[in-house]
Amino acid sequence: MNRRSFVHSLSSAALVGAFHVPCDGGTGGRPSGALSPDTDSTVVIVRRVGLSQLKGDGRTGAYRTLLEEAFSTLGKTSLAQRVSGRNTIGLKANCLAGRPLSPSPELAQALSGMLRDVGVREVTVWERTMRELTRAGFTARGSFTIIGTDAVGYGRTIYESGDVGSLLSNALLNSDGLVSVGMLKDHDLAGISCVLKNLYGTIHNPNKYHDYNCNPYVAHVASLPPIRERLVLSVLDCATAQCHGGPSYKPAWAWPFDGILVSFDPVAADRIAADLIEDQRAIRELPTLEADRRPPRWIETAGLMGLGEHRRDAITVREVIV
Amino acid sequence: MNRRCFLSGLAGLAAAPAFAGDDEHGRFVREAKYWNPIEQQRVACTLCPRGCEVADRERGYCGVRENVGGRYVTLVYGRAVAANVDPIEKKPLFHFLPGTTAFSIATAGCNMECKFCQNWDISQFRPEQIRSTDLFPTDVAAAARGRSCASIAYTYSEPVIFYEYMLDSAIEGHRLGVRSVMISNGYILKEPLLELLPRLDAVKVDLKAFTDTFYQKLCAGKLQPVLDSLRWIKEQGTWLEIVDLILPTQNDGEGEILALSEWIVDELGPDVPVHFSQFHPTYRIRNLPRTPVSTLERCYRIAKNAGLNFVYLGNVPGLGYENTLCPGCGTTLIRRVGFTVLSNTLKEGACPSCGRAIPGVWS
Repeated sequence: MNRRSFVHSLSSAALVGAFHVPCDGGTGGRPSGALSPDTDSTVVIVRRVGLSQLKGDGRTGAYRTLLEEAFSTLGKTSLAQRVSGRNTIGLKANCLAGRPLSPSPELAQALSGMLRDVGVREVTVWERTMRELTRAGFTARGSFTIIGTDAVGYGRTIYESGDVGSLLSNALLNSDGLVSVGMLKDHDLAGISCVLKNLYGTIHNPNKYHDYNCNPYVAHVASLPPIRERLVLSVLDCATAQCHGGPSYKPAWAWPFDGILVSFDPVAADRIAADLIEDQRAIRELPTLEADRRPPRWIETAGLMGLGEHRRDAITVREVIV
Repeated sequence: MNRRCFLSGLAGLAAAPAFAGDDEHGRFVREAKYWNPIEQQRVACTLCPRGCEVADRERGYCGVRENVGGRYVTLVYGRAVAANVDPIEKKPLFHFLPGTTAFSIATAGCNMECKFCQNWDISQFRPEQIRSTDLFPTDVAAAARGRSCASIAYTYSEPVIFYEYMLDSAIEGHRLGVRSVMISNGYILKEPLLELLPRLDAVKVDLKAFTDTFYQKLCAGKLQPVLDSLRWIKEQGTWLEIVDLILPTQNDGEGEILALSEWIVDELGPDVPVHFSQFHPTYRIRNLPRTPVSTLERCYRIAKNAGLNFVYLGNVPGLGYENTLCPGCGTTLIRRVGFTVLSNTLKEGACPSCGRAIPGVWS
């Protein structure tokens, strides 16, 4: 984020801050997913200079600090409320691009620890294949296990929403909570691949849903009932981000954002993520995503479907630098 | 080799890693024949009318072609998910070597998504999601010949998406005196089709409807490219038959059946066999009933009245609509029940009663 956009975000946050509605977690006996009407549309960006250069325990510790700051900003007990009643939570990591542009195992480690701290019994990190996970540096660690859908397969029920009809990964179906752990990155067809686009990794037939810049398909995938019911949190690893040439890693278009983005509202998270990528594209004098014929219109579609808040002026953005 | 056996692992097992470069599955990877490089290591597929533009590490709509570092590859060369010996009538091809068998193979994947697909459990999956076996073109040809099959059929899913595998298998088959037939949706561009046709001995195309709306809503495709393919196949002289699966309320209107029949008569000629087949609920269309026989019979009458000489009804065995009749004198030439040929009285491809030549590949 450059200074201009940082200031823009802050003033935007100030503008709508008065209307901020704190998250109230579950409703009644059944935990609500992130995609429920009462979801708080605050997006928190926490940055730490040099994050992308850290290794090992130092990096895990840094992520823990960033996450604590993020959840503190969202409301001190927000995470506990959000995952209340959920015993098994899966972190769906987007590891398509290999280690340089996949969520960091250290972020997963820190997040897993925090989830366990608030009562979650089991945390898994999963992706389409074990190979993708291992290529991204994931190994089974003390606080989480790793699962490739290639090892556990897909369920046998075709879930449908709108134009989408898909089988879902058993890694998803065998958990009762889902965190989308994506990257802040460009996508050649969808415009961006951050929170919601990452959910294509839950279905067996993602190749069927890339026409028309993935609109409305991204929204329809996110609204498949087992996903909608489980998605409780969105986290983007923005240590390294990429503004063009995605979804694979292209060093020429990557930059150290040195932060994370956290929200309970996946649509709001993607709205802000898209803005951040557009800002970086402007800095590099790249055309806008619209001019590049790949605007992420599915964000608006998702908002209109009630999956979250797509309107920029209705989203509260908090940026913290630690 | 049993198809059911192959499919038993469906959805419960996804044994292969996703990327083409993986050692374990690299043997199935070949450079694709029809694609062009574009900027940023992206590629444009020029095999089918979808014209997918695919970024590095991504796949085309078919799910079996992947961009690996700016190079487009097929992931299913020799990667069979089904291999069976079927009667040629099952394809259905009624005017092509009746009573013979076809060694029938498929890979995962399709370039459409028909919501009524009867083989969705292979066509709508990626190769690594389904158990497969190594069956390379020389193996295919040898297996077909070893089982006394007159032909190799590329079928079940969509052969266009395993183009390279099909092409080489057809070449190997011809070397051993085994012919090749493609059972296809006809969704392919002209250049690859024209390269392929000399290697094929017959093609069956599903003309799924005669409205673009149907193709777009229920197949994620378009009508016109299929019509174009039908013309090109006919122009090249490859034996052609057409199937139209009739879905109640979706593509069974009298006007549509008439328009489809008249188009075939005008553009392809009256001697192209047309099969109207009964739909049964499956995949994503489970809220429609089976096609009533009366509807199929109405299609039959419309098509005959439009001038088509050879009209058949499929999936309704035993009603007499599977028989081949001489359009000249009405003599029953080939009697069938289901996929079984009960009798064949053709004499050197002609009616024994009136001597009229019956179009087809008979020997």
